[in-house]
Amino acid sequence: MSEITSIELQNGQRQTLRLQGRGTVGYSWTFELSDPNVVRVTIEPAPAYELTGKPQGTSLDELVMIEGVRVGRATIRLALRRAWERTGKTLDERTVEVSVVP
Amino acid sequence: MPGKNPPSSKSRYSKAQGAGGAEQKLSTHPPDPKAVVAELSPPPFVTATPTTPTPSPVTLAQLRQILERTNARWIAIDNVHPQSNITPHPLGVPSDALLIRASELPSLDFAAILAEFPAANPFVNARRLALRFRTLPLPRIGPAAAAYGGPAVAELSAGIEVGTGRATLVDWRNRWGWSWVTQIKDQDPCESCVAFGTTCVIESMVRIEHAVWCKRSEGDPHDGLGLKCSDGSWPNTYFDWIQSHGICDPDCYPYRTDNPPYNPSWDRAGRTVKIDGYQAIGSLEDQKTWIDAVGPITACIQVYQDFDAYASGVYHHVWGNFRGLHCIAIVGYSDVENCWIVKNSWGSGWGDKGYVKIGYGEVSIDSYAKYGVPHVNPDPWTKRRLHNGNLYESGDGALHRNFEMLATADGSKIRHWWRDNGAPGFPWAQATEFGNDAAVCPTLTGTTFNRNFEAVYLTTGGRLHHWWLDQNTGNWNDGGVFGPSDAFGVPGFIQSNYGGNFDVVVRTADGRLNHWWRDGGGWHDGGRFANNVAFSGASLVQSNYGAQGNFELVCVLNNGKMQHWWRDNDHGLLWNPGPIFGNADGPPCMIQGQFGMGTEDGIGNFELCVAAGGQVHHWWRNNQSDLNWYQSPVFGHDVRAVAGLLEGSFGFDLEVTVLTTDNHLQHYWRDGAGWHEGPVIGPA
Repeated sequence: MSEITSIELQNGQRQTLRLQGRGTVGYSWTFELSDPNVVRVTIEPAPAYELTGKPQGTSLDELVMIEGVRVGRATIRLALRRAWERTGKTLDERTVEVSVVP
Repeated sequence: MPGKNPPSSKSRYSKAQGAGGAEQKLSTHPPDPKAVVAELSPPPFVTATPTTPTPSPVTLAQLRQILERTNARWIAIDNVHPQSNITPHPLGVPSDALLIRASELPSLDFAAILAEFPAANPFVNARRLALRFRTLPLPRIGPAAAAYGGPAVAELSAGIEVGTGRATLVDWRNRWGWSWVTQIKDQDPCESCVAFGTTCVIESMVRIEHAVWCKRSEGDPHDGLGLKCSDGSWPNTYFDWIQSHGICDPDCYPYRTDNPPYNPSWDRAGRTVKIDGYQAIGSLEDQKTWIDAVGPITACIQVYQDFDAYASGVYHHVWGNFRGLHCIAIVGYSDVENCWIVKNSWGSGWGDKGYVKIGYGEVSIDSYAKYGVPHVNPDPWTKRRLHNGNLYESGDGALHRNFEMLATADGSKIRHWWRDNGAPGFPWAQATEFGNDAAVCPTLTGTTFNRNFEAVYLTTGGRLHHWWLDQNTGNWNDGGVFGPSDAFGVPGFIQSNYGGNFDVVVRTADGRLNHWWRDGGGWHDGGRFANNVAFSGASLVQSNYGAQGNFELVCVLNNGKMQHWWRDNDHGLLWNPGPIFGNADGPPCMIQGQFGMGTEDGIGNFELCVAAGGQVHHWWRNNQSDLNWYQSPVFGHDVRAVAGLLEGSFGFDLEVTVLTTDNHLQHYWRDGAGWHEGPVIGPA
């Protein structure tokens, strides 16, 4: 079951959601956005220095950066999956309900 | 992924092609100061600005100048002197003890290493000779293997040694017409890549050194080390553990992703491949030479986003963010394509059927030491189908491939012979004698009971007698008399996968076959089957047909024909008569060999040798297609009975011991050129 998070952003405000990565297993976080006019979403890995001292096999966390663009509501469905298994299982799922307020 | 040369400036902020072909910026945010710090670390991160390459700073003062010039925000974590040097730890590596820089390793003395671990695989040996790495003893090299070594080997026969140099292309997935690499696996979803890279190397080394497919469990070292699904590790950490504990097969302890308690089967001690050590390899030339002359190696890489999209060709990192640290196995290389041939552990749906060609120097693949294993000692369970009768290849001896043989002596005693397969000339020697009631040569095997030798023979009193050698003491111990009161044949004897039980099938005086089995409660009568049997032999095999593995055997009927019987171990445990074929004068000896096994999950052909007309008849059953029995060329002379048969470490060669008409044991062997007469070993 997808974990649901609700956040409220002011128009122009940003918030970052940190998710556990599995890049060294071929997984990456993807997203579906119900209304791209309300929020803007980008996903990038956490800073590379976070792996300093970490053993082989360790993946960087992934940072979901959510920016309020216009007043309204939007739903972000996040899925951790392998790019070549588009119809396959997801390893993890999250749902973020975003309310953008003035 | 089409092969593309990397851009001259590996800027994180440079425009790059995405998977869909559209240009995309890798970042739309102001530089994260910590990210900038990371990028200024020693290679692979080179530049902090989109357009101006900056030399990597050496001191903190230099680092601050660069940060100020880029208007980056930063906070000093420690109060250190500005002229302090930045500690040049490679990304992700806390100390050289865990991953050594390749440049810091000395060149390898291959001659010394390979002299310590000479190969029995004739193909590998031909390569080593071609590379001028003399090995002692110099095992048999038949014409077939010589051809793979090239002109150098042929000239060797004339006493002239010529080096042809390292191969420009090696691919252990298909070398000399054989595959030496197990199938692609999937670590999903754990960060256990090191388990898969190291295990792949060991599986391949068993195949290369001992000519046998060997499945190993990644879960064994992973959970044995106490690692969780989300834990990474280091290749030398794994190899250190495996050197101390061995690595078992998946049925002993499987790979699991749910963090179970480490609880392998009770007989793990007899189901582990052991290694004597491992080797860190630094220079690219040494690494390629190792791959050419020894086998696959592990390597560590950095994973970028475009790695996910790789499909074919040679991978060069072109676009995408850094994702993490990864360990893989290198199973070959190509100096034509300038790439390593890599076995990944993301399943066969990724990449090129699970494989990738990574360009030399890409993704830090050449920055750190790669690791190889020069020598492995496989367990009895791995080789359980490859031998039968009085002949067995143990893990004993310096090279872990001595032949062990039991034969009657001085009437009714049993004499233990062994052949040192690490010494020049492969001399046979006598070990101990035991027993005083043997009517025939015993059937000998090695078991998961701590690799102990176990033997069963027909007694002069018409019973069966079990003896076992304790590997801890080297002494043979009396396991007791058991079985029918009218046993009258050479027993088939195996350790099965029914909890490690022993199973025996022997002819009885009424011309039938009687199955006996032993569990923790002792020996049990499994009932009689078949009729008109003249000879039973050391032909009982638990094949890999079916889920459990069927029992298979061949007996000789009163009319001199042979008959195949098999027990369906998935449906009712009933014995079924198979086809009748051939002619025989004595008990048959049968194994299930490696021929026909294209992968570790393949079903190898049955190989059978039996005496007929004073010679040895070799039969084999085509388990790949028609399941028919075929006869190979007849060989030998003055043969009274075939006593033992095995497929050992000498590159898929078959080895046979026969009892001659003048009561001696003689060795025959078959390579790619055919059957050869070996020495007379001793009286029996």
